Amino acid sequence: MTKSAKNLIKSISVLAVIALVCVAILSFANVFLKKEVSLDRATVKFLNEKFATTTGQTATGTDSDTAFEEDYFVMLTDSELSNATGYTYKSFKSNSSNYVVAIYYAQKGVNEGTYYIESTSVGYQNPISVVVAFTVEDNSFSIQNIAVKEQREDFGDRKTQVLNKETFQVYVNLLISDPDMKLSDGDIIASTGATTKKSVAGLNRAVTRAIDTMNKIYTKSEALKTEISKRGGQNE
Amino acid sequence: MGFTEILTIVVAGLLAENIVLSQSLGICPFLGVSKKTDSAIGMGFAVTFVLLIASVVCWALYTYVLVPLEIEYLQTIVFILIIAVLVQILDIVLKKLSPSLYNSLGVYLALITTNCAVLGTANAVVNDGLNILQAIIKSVSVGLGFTLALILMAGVRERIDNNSNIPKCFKGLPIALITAALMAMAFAGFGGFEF
Amino acid sequence: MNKKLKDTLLGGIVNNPVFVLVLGTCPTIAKSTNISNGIGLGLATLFVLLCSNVFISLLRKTIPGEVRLPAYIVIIATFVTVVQLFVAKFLPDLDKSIGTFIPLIVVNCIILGRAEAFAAKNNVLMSAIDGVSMGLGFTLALILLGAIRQFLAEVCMLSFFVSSAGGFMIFGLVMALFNYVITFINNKAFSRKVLLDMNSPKIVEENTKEAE
Repeated sequence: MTKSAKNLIKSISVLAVIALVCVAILSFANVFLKKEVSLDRATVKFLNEKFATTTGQTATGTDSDTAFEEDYFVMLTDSELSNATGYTYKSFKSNSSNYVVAIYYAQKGVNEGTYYIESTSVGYQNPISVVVAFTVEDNSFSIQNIAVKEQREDFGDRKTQVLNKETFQVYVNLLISDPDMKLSDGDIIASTGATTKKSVAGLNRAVTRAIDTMNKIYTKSEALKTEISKRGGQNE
Repeated sequence: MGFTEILTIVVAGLLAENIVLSQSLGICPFLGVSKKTDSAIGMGFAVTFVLLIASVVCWALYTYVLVPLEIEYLQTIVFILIIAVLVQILDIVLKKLSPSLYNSLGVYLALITTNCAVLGTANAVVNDGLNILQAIIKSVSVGLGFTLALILMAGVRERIDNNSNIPKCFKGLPIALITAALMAMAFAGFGGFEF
Repeated sequence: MNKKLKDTLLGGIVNNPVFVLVLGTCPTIAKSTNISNGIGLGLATLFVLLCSNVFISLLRKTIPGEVRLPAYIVIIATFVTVVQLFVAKFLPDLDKSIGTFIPLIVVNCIILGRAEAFAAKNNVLMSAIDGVSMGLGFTLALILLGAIRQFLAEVCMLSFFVSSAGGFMIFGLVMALFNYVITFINNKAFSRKVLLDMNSPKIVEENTKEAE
């Protein structure tokens, strides 16, 4: 073998070894540093208080601390979801910015049987996260309410909000009253008077993703309840 | 995909979100190569070419390899290696096809690898969830916007560099940066452009 | 301490990567919008710079010349990804403000430049010191620019300086100030040297000889 061929092989093999070691380091780091969603006290407080009824009562009927300690809300795990419906969280994912974060279920309390789907999308440049509450009836489901978990849409001055309360409320009312639960960006802008398309499109995308997810799993809501009660059985 | 959507992406890449003047990426070559208009045009088109191919290849690899195998954390390594390989290929091709351009670019051709604009656009294409057609249009528009900024800057710098009225401590880079600031102010007028 | 050690330690100030070497300008202009951004991005870059300098110096005899750039890039990208994962998990607020610029640390010219110019030729300890010094120099430059822009934007209510145009302008003005100060110091040193030289016995003798 000529010297230059030998050098070439040596160079490539050194590079390959370095690359493999680096990939190994990263896989190892990824195990520890992977972002994982879990149902913590703050999320329970959010669900309990943002979805309060019109009379002022919290969603579960009790205060947030009790709701957290006694597991009024549970978060569906991947295995429960796939056992019951055949879908996993990954099936509802578009890419690293548009995906379903978590599906929560109220197993106790006044709002028992309500599904809360948290999904996120991208507005103008920042993420928009919403939680949509669904109630499942015999052969259909409907939107109970929508709450924004996180958004930073402004007009560039970091002060004036694009998705302020009034705009958002108009959008929610429009969506709930629409029997197909499908609004185009143009409809929303015309009704809300919002002037920034990307923010509204991002919000609509996140909500639509939650609705599409519910569409896929609501037929299996009995199976889901069974899976969740299996978990509850283990706890007791 | 509607015509207005395409137009939005093109106008954003060229003017409203110009990669150099609004998003402050790709400044090293912007300050380094923009002394003469000819090298500016050559650099601009080289970067556009790398941007287009890098965005497409990175998008394809991300969508069809990284996501299904759930190894998205390798995104940075894979993307920057693709860009380095592409620049190396461009180096070899340019040496054969256009030696004059190759010579005028000099060391800045290899520095396209470390051009924040290329990696930044590849990341943006993947993180914003664009489809392949949007990715192609966006990367070409960003490249043309980069070229536009370079040409404008070169045109101004050709005059300034010979001007003896500039105070000594401003000569060279500081006055170029102030010029860039004025240009960025002008381009900021296009901000928020939507169809 | 010997001269090399002293030069390396002070490298971050004397050869400041932002104002003197003019490397890594992209994150400087884009993200020096306030002090906390500057500290966050600067320390992230310092970590990557330190780790990559150490590892490249450790492997400097093993990596063949032809593949050194791809090898450096892979090593740097590994550390950048580690920082990215760490920030995404443990520092969500920082992730929101500078998240998109953390992957761009891999193309920060400072890191590749120091790897090529210093770590490939020096031992591990010196490379580590150089990494810390340059990283601190970068962080200090970011903090300086960030402080100025934040002060102007929040106290003087001129939010223009938070935009990219303002960033260019502040960067240009501070660099001009740097040039002025350095020229001033050099001039003083130069004129002092000229005076000393002029009065040194040898030159005085030559001048008197010429006059005759």
